[in-house]
Amino acid sequence: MILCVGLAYFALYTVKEDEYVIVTRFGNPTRVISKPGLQLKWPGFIEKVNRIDRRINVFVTLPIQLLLGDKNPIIVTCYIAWRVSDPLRFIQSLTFVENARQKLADMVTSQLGSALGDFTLDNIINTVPDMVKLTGIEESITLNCNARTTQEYGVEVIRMGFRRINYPSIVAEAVYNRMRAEREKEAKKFRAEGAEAASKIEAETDREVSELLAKAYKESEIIKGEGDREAMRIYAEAYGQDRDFFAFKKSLETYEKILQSKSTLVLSTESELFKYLTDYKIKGQ
Amino acid sequence: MDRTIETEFRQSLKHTRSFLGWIIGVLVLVYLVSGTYSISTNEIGVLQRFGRVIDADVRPGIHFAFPWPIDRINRVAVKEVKRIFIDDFYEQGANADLFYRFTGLHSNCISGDNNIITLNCVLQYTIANPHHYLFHVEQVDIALRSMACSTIIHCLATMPVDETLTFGKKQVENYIKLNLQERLDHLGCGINITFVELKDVRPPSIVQHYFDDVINAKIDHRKMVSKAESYRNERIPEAKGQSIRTVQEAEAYKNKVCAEATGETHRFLAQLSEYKKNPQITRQRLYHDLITTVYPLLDTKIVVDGDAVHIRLIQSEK
Repeated sequence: MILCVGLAYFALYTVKEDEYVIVTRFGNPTRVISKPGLQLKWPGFIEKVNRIDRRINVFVTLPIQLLLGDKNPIIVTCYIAWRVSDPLRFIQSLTFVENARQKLADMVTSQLGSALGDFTLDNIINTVPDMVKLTGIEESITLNCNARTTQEYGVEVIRMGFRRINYPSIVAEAVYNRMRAEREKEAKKFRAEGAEAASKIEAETDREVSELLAKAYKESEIIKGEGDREAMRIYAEAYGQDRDFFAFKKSLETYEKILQSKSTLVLSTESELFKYLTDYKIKGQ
Repeated sequence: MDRTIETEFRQSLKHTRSFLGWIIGVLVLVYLVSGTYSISTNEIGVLQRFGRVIDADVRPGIHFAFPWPIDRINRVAVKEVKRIFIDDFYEQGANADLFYRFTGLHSNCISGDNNIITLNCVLQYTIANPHHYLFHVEQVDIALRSMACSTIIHCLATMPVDETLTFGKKQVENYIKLNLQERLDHLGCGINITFVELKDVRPPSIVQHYFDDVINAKIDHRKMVSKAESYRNERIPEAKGQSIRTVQEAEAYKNKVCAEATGETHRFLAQLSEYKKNPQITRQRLYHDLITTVYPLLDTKIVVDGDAVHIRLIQSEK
């Protein structure tokens, strides 16, 4: 019984849902197991079990500086989603996952270099969405890499994508300067437009005010004129009835006004006032 | 004597065997029962037998399974809402520091009109397919973060910065939700994005001031116009009031002048009717009244004989 258990331990093994197993006999691969479950092998050192993770692995590349077709430099970081599609080929060519990552990173980098050379900055960023070709670039690099890796390494590249796109420092500086200038210009425009609108309103107001006042002045002068005219008519009508009496009365009023305390009056004895001074007799006697 | 020892030995062996038997029996039972497990209400279980998945949807409750190494249970919290914070494009934070130390560059994103923008993103997701989540993708969180970043870049690359900073936020969030889900499903990650929110979307600190100044300039614009309008609201009513006053003053003048005229002429006409009755008498009376009033007030009075000399008054310069 103990022998049975011992044998079971050394001859049976499990294949998990997320792995491939390659059974090697004395170092040489004999069979590939891709179905999960319980499996048999020759016990001990005769046959060995090699496990390979079959899940999709996603890793991120280091930042790379590349030139676009219009000589604009950009710094990109990518992610690559891949998995082992042919475990045997994988074991034979790359063996380790680290090797796979390195190989993939190199491949993607060189593909990127040449792909981006066919595009300009307008294809990377653009307010016209159709001009931006990022998805197309990602898909074509994925396809190209995949063609090679499946054949040579038994590796399937499922998707690569841009994870970061940045400008080198010098370019970033230039962009910041441009952003600053643009905003300054806009702020200036708003303030200038505000001042213009304000002075327009003020000028309008001043014009309207002077119009109103002029109109009122004109009207008031007309009314005053009417008043003067009416008054003159009343005077003329009244005084015209006896011009002589009017002249007499008016002169007397004037004398009363102009003969003041500071005045000197020179009178002749011939005047009517002093008539009775020299001639007091009754006329006709 | 030997017989007794042998018998005793055999007996003790028998006892020991049965005793051991009991112990082994209990151990085997315990071992068999050890495979029982429970799934709590916010979980789903994935059962593997010899590595192969035989049930990817074990409901909450108590279940029996074979003990290790035959069966193995993985519990996946499907009701739990998990959260991930994407700060790869934010100019501050651990991620930003790392990136800066490595490249000397600031973390940010480029907009469609070639402006630089910095932002944070919060994603919430649940595990929709436990089997996929466990067995399709290694390190789902790296995959999620990478693809989220990629989606953000793709979306922002087609939008002008002013839109992204203001009303475009919702559009970006929707785009991320749809596009990221597509990418995740393409890989078979088995997770479902439930919520996307962009936080703190703003221009980099270096130029923040100038962006703020544009807002201030708009405020200044409104202020200037408002000031001019209040000037207007002051002056126009003032002028209207003045106009009315001017006209009213003219009317008052007109009334006054006419009233004066009427009054004076009335007086004159009254005197006239009296005068007409006796012109000569009235004239003399009036004349003498005047002289009586005026003469005493005068300083100097000179009476000269009319024959003697003709006097011409010459205006002196004194």
